[in-house]
Amino acid sequence: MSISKNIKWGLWILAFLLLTILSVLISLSIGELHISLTDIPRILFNGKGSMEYTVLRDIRLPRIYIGLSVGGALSIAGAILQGVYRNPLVEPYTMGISGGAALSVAFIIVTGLSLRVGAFLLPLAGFIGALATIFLVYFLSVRNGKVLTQNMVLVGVMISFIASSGMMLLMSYTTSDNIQSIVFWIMGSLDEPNSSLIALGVTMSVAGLAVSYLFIHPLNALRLGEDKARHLGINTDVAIKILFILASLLTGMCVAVAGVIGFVGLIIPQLMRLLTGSDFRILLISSFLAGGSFLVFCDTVARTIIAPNELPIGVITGIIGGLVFIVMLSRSSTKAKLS
Amino acid sequence: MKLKPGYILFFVFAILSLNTFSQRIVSLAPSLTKMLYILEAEEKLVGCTNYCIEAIKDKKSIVITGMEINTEKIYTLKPDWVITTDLTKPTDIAALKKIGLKVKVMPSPKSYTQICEQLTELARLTNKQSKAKSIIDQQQARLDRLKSLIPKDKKPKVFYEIGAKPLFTVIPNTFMDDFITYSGGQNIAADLKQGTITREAVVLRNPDFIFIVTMGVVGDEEKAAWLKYSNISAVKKHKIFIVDSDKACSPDPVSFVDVVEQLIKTMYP
Repeated sequence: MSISKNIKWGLWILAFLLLTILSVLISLSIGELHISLTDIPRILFNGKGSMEYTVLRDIRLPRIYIGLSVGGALSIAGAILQGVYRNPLVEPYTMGISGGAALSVAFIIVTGLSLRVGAFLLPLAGFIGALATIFLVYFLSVRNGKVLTQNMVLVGVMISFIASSGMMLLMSYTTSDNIQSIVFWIMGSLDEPNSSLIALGVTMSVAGLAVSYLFIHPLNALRLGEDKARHLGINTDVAIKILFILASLLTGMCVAVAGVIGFVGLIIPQLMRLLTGSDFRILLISSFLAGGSFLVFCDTVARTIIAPNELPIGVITGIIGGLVFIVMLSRSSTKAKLS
Repeated sequence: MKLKPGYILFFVFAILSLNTFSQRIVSLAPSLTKMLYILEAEEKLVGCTNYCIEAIKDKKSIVITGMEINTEKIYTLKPDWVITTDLTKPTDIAALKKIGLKVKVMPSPKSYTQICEQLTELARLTNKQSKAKSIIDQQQARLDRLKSLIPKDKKPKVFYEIGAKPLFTVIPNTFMDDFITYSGGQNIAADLKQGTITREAVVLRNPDFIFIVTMGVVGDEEKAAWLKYSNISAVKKHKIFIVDSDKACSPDPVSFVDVVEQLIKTMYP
């Protein structure tokens, strides 16, 4: 690796770190209660007991933690899956994961189990649903002990359709209240008062990033295709399996903590590929940071744009992410890069 | 030709008896089924939803499962009236009308007054006017008694939570908002146009009471979540209470006054 590349990557990481800090500061400062940036340290360290402290410490900070970890985790899961499948349209949610998770949560809501046993069943069901789907996709794509990666995408899309039919079935048999709960759950939210769930999210996303860096060489080799990667001495079957499990666990965690938030896992890695290049050494960390700050920014918009009402975050990620992506794509230089 | 009093009496009797004996009603909403039971008009009910527990126990036919209406089944029950709310899809209502059924759509009540009006309307359909009047009078008397318990000088701020994820509250122009106004409180969401509210807004509006409408263990979990925000007056004074959703979400006069009673007795012990 040349020195200039090192410097370039260093600058990119620095830029994304600054972007993250900026999004965090904006999110801390803006809201129903306006808190000036200069007051934030004083309130956080000496303001215990004040209204501002409660707002910063118990409302805005937890949302930022979730935004950074879920946005980061979805983006690296997307980057990994796109790398493994060499398919730019793959993301955690086009693999049927969101469909499976939503179906599982809808089942818990419709049967009323969450009311009888506890609300913790909803994140648990989301996690189990996401994992169950992805393993189903995996096992349906194995032929003679070999994973047919292109089959997985097709199976994933089919499972998405089956899951959405299942959702419609459940929704047609339940009350309007339950339908509302399901729809809102599907739209996702960073409002999660359970601090252990938040801690789990932060730990898992950071651990996920660390583990993904252990597979940098297989990931980079897989860019050339499975056969060539194998010739380079990579045990592709094992690498794909582990990377797949990693992406599934990260997605399952995101679904459990924040519901289904689309577009982040698709758009952020693509955008990063356009900006920083396809080398996973820079792609993973930049996707993690950019994904986190993007979600924190979207959440700030979602909770302030029609305050004191709140918009579902999925609406914002879809609109902002989609528009930015279209603009990027329509630029001639990026067209050339992608082709 | 001059009508003889005997004829007039005969016609009146005939119309009255037609009204009394021939009414067959299909209800497409659990709340309306409940109203029929309150009016003691359940013998006129021939079809109900799969959520009308009491009616199902009475072996009434189920004509709607979840949101899916079984039009054929409704037709074979030969109802004089199909009663429903505005939650039923307009296309379903049109389909029922097209096959010659009379459909009465009752809009979701926006106030206690409208709840009473709907009870009166149902009473007219089922010829139970006197029963409706006595229910409404009784509940009004209860409300008057309860009102006397409210101190004149207090107007506590109330946050009335009806959904946790996302956080959802009651807004003006709903019968649930009347729970707060009838119990002398002040809805912290009185300026909102829609029910989603940020946690931050709740903390800053600093309610004196938090009422969580829910069933099962979810209410307790939500209560625990609020306890973290120690700046809220309701948290400081331990004024967070659970309201049973079966009663709070059921727009009928008796349940309404039951909830107002719970609120008043909690707020001014």
